[in-house]
Amino acid sequence: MEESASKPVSDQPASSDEQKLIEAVQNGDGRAYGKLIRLHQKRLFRFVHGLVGSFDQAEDIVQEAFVKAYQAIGTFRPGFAFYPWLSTIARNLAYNQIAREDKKESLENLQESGFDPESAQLGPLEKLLNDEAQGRFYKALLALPAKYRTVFVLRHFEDMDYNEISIYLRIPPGTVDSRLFRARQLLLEQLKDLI
Amino acid sequence: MDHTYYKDRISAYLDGALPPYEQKAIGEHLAQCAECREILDRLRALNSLVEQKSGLGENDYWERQAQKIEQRLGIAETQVTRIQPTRTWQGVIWKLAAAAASIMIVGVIGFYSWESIRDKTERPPIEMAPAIPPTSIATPQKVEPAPENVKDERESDRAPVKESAPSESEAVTPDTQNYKRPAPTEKTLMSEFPETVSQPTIEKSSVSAKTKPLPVQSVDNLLRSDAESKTDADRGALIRGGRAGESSYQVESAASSPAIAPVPQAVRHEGEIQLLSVRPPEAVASNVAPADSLAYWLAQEKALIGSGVDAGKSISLMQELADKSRSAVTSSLAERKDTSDVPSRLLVAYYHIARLSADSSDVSRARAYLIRYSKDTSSSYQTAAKAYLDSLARK
Repeated sequence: MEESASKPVSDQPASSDEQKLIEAVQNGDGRAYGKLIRLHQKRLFRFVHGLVGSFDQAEDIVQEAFVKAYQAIGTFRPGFAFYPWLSTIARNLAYNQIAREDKKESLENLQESGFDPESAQLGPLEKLLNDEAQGRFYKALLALPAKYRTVFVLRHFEDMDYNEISIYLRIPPGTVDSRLFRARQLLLEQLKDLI
Repeated sequence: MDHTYYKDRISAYLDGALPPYEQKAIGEHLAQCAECREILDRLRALNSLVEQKSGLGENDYWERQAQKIEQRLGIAETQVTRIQPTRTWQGVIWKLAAAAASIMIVGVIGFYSWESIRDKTERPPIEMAPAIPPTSIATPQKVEPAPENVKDERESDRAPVKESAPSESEAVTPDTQNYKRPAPTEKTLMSEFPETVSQPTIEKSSVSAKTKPLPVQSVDNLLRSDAESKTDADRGALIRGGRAGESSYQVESAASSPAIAPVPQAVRHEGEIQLLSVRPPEAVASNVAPADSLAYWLAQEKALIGSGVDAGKSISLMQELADKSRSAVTSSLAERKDTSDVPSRLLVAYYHIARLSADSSDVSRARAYLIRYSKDTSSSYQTAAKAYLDSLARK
């Protein structure tokens, strides 16, 4: 199934097909929810994986997000796109995951000197990539310190603007700007031969 | 102005995230500065690379994951299909070995079969013993049929489903508007960024899917416990959609019913006693049986769910309670110590609401609820929900 459009997010109305699926799910049609899962899972996984940086955790969070969305589908107001709502649930789950790990090692204290793409392990993600360049990109992305990676993923995978990112991460917009700039600098250094 | 000032803002300039005056200033600088233009070009190239190289490819993995989620939600049509592994030499060798073994087995069986046929044709016919009269054959003990469906139902409940029992504090059902992020002013933004962040708590429960055995109930029992019908005749009328004497609808009797919605009779908490004591005024005044009083069932629904009843709320509550029940997680929801029988009581209430109400919103809410659970293979309420829907259809 095709990955859903890369442009999200906020006030995007649901397509008529998606609208029908949501209504069917709200009327108890489980098969319709299966279609929604297949429609959005890849994009949601990419986003969550980018946030948490772990394949296994991303897998769990994506699964949990779909379960929770299904359980609460009755509260979903028809007419709106499903993905932003779903990704909000997933984001909260992911952020809590990050916050839990944050207790072990503060995001703020992560040192940029720890950026070493060669040491990053793609693990099972490797099977989901199409070519070597993709592997290079994901290695570099996963090797980014979490505070930079999070901002980068929200900007590039979820198309959030600076204000949205600042609200979500509760950091000033200026910090969003500087972190995103730094993330891009680090990626440019690592991927300069691909650019 | 310092050159670094411009360089540091090129990234935000590219995203159009600067205030208009800065956006303009950086644009003017870029027109004059080759070094900064090169940075801008490289950032653009990076954006392009991210677009091209961040997409994840097609793989069996996605279908497996989708099926796992469906299984967990009980909405899968089929069991998780085994994805064919890619062919390897090892696999080919095993297949060849298996084929060779099959041929050998067939050969051996064929040889012995041929030998036995040849023996029969060569041997003289054996004189057959006289037939034993049927009466002399010992009648086997009558064996009580095992309640297979009951067992299956229980087993399905014990299926190794990764249960999640959301806690009270979970903010897992964000309102649809929540994801609509407003664009606040800088002033309000700054006030929203305290140093100590209190994120919504969405703890994923690590409680194992330890299943509490659920008591087996028939529709009869279920209705008896919830409607508190005074006589068997009342109960029969109830089961048959309120029309006494109609026998075409064969609801499972206590003897033959499969396992369905559990109603632990032994568990009676204060809240539930109060709940059962809810009696509509007309029932008291005109001696109408509670089972046939719409007001009674609407009051039941409200008491079980709380105010602001709607289908979505009741369904999500039902799912939550069913999850809690299955994973034997005690809940403080609605200040009850055990909510395991609430889903089944709600199921019964919705059956009667759908049966008795003339209000289309009541009926659609109740039917949506029943339909949801008639399709939930992971739920022990599925059979009950189906039976109720059948009953409504026949009515």
